[in-house]
Amino acid sequence: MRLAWTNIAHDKTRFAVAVLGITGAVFLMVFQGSILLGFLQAASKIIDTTGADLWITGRGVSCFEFPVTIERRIVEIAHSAPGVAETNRICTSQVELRKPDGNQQLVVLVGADERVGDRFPMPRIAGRAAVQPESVMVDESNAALLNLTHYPQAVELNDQRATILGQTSGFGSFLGSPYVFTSYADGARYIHLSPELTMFILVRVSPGSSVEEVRRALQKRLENVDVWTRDDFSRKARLYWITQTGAGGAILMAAMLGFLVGLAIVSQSIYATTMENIEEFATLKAIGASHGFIIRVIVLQSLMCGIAGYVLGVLVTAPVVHAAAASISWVSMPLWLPAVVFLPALLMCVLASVLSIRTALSVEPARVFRA
Amino acid sequence: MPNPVLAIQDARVGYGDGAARVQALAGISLSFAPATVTLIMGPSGSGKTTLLSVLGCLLRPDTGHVLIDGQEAGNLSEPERTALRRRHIGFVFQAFRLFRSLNSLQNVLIAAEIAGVADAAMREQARQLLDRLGMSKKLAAKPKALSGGEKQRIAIARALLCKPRIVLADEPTASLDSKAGREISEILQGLAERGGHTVVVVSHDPRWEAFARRTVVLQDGCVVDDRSREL
Repeated sequence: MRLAWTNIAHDKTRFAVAVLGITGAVFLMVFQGSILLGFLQAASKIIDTTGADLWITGRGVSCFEFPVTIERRIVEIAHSAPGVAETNRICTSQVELRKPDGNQQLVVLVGADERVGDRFPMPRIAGRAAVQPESVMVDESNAALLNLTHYPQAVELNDQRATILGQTSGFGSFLGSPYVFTSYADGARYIHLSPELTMFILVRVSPGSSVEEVRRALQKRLENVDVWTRDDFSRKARLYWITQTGAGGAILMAAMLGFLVGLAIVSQSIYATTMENIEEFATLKAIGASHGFIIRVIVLQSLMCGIAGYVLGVLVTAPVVHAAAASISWVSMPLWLPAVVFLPALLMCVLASVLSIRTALSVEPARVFRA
Repeated sequence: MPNPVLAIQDARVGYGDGAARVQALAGISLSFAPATVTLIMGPSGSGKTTLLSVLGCLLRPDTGHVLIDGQEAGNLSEPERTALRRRHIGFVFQAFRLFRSLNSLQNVLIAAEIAGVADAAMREQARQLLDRLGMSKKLAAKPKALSGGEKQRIAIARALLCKPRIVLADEPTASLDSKAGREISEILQGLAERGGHTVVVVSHDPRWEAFARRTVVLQDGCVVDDRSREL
């Protein structure tokens, strides 16, 4: 299959165009894939960070960010159910944060019981497990937006005094409004939540109990709320953001657009190379080359362009994603993402060669006798 | 005549429809013996190239038969005809038809690659062929660096690599000067006389008659003269 390589190496300009086309497509697919993946992870980050086995939510709630209130007494009902070891509460709402410079910023306040999860951000007193009253934590990616230069720093939340105790990481908001974390008691107070109400109840199942059985039992007992396993609620939230909002769809569309643009460029390039060599394909047919041989030549040409373009695309994307993380804190490019894009990139190259293959196979071999 | 390696019987080929239809071959029957150069001559439009296309299994006759080594080729499927060409027929073209991105040795070896037998032995055989044709110092040269005569030698080596019994040459010297043309004619004659190949040459050039044991003249798709002579 030397012919495949020498054909594309013979016309370096066309080879470069094809490789650049694939590079662009791979860049778009990996970059948009990183944004999509980061978006999905961010959309369920708070749910995933808790140590809860089950989430009890208001009926029809699709994600963490848009809760409805549920009755506080459900906590006791849930706690008394067989197989339930522990219950915790979370409340959330948008509130106004008055910055140190006097400007106001809308933030998403998240108030959670202390035992909601070890990895859950909580304004704890340094060196101690206790939560500092009237204190909050913010994500490091929002420090500049909130004009925070040092900690602790006094601010106001819904006109009530609060102290930003420090910063956490990995909780950059994908909504534009920064997350602010505090204790459940303070959170309920800042958002003026009635003591008779709460928003999410998180359940830990006793060791040895089946999570699914406890979920079913709770759902049977609590007809006016939804009971989800943590993974199901996480999935539901991601699905909501990807399908019910324009954001996820737009990101997905951009990744697909990358594929289609790359497909168009590579198709055009490979087709032009094939047409340029059409007499050679006629000669191949005349001297006995099978269809399989001709298909292999064209597909190999495509794949060679594809592999070169893929490697270049990944090399270009990695630093760009790294740079993008400065402004989009939740963007995520795990190592497997470029590996996963390898297959669509190769598929793109194979699809791009279909038209060329049809043309090369249909060429009349008897034309070789024309001078 | 010894058993023919190649034959056509009552072959007819027409192009176009209705009043515009042209009969390129009007019921031609010919047999080609081994170890012979046959020259096909005739004016433009007489059907020479169509005849060569039919003999080379590149074109299916509308009616009639094509026999290669006694095997009917006219009713074979396209893949079978392709395989038949690969096994039995070597082609030499007026325009050389070399692959511009391959060097001389690679251009010859492509025939082995197509046949799926491109091993070290075949590579050595290609070198020897090129050596015999006086091209041993141009193995790495690309076609654009070769003269017309040199390109035709490469094309002949490619046609011979897989040892076909039949060599079909279309105006093999038309693009060459007289010296190179004579050399190529001698090479093709040698293939028949010493190699036992059945060589069919289509040409306008009457100088070819000196190298051919048999001359067939076509006109309007019919054989109007078929003469043999001792060389």
